[in-house]
Amino acid sequence: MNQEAEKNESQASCGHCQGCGNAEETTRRQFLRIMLGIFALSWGAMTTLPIIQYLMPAAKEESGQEVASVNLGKLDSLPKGQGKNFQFGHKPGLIVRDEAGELHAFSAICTHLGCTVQFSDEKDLIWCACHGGQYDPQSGKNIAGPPPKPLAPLKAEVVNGEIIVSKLPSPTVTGAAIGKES
Amino acid sequence: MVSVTKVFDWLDQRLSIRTWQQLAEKKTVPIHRHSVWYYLGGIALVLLLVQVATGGLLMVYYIPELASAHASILKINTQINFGWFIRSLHSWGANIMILALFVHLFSTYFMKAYRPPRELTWLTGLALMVLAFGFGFTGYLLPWDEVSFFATKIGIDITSKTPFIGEFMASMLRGGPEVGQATLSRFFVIHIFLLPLGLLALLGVHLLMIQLHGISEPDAVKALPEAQKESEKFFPTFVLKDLMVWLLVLNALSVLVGIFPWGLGPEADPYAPAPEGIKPEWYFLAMFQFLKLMPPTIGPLEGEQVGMMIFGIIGLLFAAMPFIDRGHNPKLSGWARLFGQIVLVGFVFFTIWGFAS
Repeated sequence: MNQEAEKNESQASCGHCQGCGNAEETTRRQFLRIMLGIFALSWGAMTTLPIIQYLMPAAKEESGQEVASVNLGKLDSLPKGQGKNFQFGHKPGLIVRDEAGELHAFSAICTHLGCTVQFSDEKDLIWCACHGGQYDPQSGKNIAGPPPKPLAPLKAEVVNGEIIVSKLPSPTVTGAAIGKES
Repeated sequence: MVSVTKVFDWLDQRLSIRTWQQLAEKKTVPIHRHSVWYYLGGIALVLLLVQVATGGLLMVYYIPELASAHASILKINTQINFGWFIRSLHSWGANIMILALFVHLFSTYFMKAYRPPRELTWLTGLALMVLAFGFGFTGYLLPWDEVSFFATKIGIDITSKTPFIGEFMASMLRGGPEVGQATLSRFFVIHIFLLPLGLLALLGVHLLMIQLHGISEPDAVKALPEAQKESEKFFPTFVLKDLMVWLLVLNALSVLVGIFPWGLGPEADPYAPAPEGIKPEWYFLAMFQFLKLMPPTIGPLEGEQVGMMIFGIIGLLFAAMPFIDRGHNPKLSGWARLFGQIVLVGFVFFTIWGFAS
């Protein structure tokens, strides 16, 4: 009885159609269908979001092992016309000592597809074994092959007879920093 | 004592075995001069079973941890009884499975088996091929050797160049600023959990579709009058032949593994330069060689991006083929065949070039 009374009341309060029936039934059904869709989507989003957040690398890990400078040992350990790879924080670095004795340091990450480059003393250039990219050992400029950009430069200097490689003070500085033999 | 018939009857009442048997006996496989290609899907399937079995066995000893991964594979290769055999079966089996999948893909393509109503069979098949590449790419890193380390670096870098979502996807795969422990853990989970899950679902649909639609016939056979068509029963005739082929494949695989056990390169050193002559697995070699030809930049885009777009378009055309060449238009059918021939010849050409250079 109570329900019927409510139903009658709701029908009476609806002034849009006469006799009611199909038209309203359809809208109600459509409304429920849309609500179901919205509900399913939001439920899906609520479930997916924490999973994506969970899988995102932690911010601490992203900035982990940042270093300002590394000591590569005695200058004599790197003969003229030679180069060597080293660890700079969590990234590989490359230092080259040219025939004039000047030091040039770079990030050893190839600007093409992220392989680690090396110095070839035979050809006197920096090259990447993965796709044959080549860089100038003094400026780090990309000179042949697929690399689109020069190698990122690092600062190399000699302090008390030891090679110190550090980050460049400003990221806007271009070209290799040169540390003179002291 | 309960007789076998009684057990069978008991099971039949519950599982309707006889109905299934009747269905299997009713099913036929066409016989014609291209019938040999019908065995390729089965070959891929048996090689997949080898992967599941050997993969499970490898997990008993493999440790997905940076300092132990390489050592654990070395231990499997040198100290565990038959370890070298199980691991070689897994590595060789994976490569031969992908080869079988390539042959299966191209043979069904040229037999026009993708046409309606088999669109979903074709699409799930293509998706399974992508999964197989995913298995190959993630599994390659797990031994943590020099070559696999750089292959992963390159693969993730290429992923990062995908428009819009590239960086996000690369970061999710890498799990950190550099390829390291987080990457190894993620690749392990993808290799042994995520991809197998997708594989189960897709393979289920793929096989169900084949049961629903029956075996596809090439046009020339379809055009023959019914009286001239030849066929054999799926069960037991084809199944028994299939089993013989499986046995041959397994024997050949064992011989191959016995003669050429799978090696292990030196452990990865994230700070050492990439080793000389570094190349990806053979099935990525054609892409690798093609990308090498790309100039650093083409217009506003990087060379890689253009190369990847070309691969993307080829993939999309393959996926769209059932909706383009529906079998009504001989001209389109000819174009579809030509497209397949160009892709196949290009793939073989670049793969050989990649090997030689």
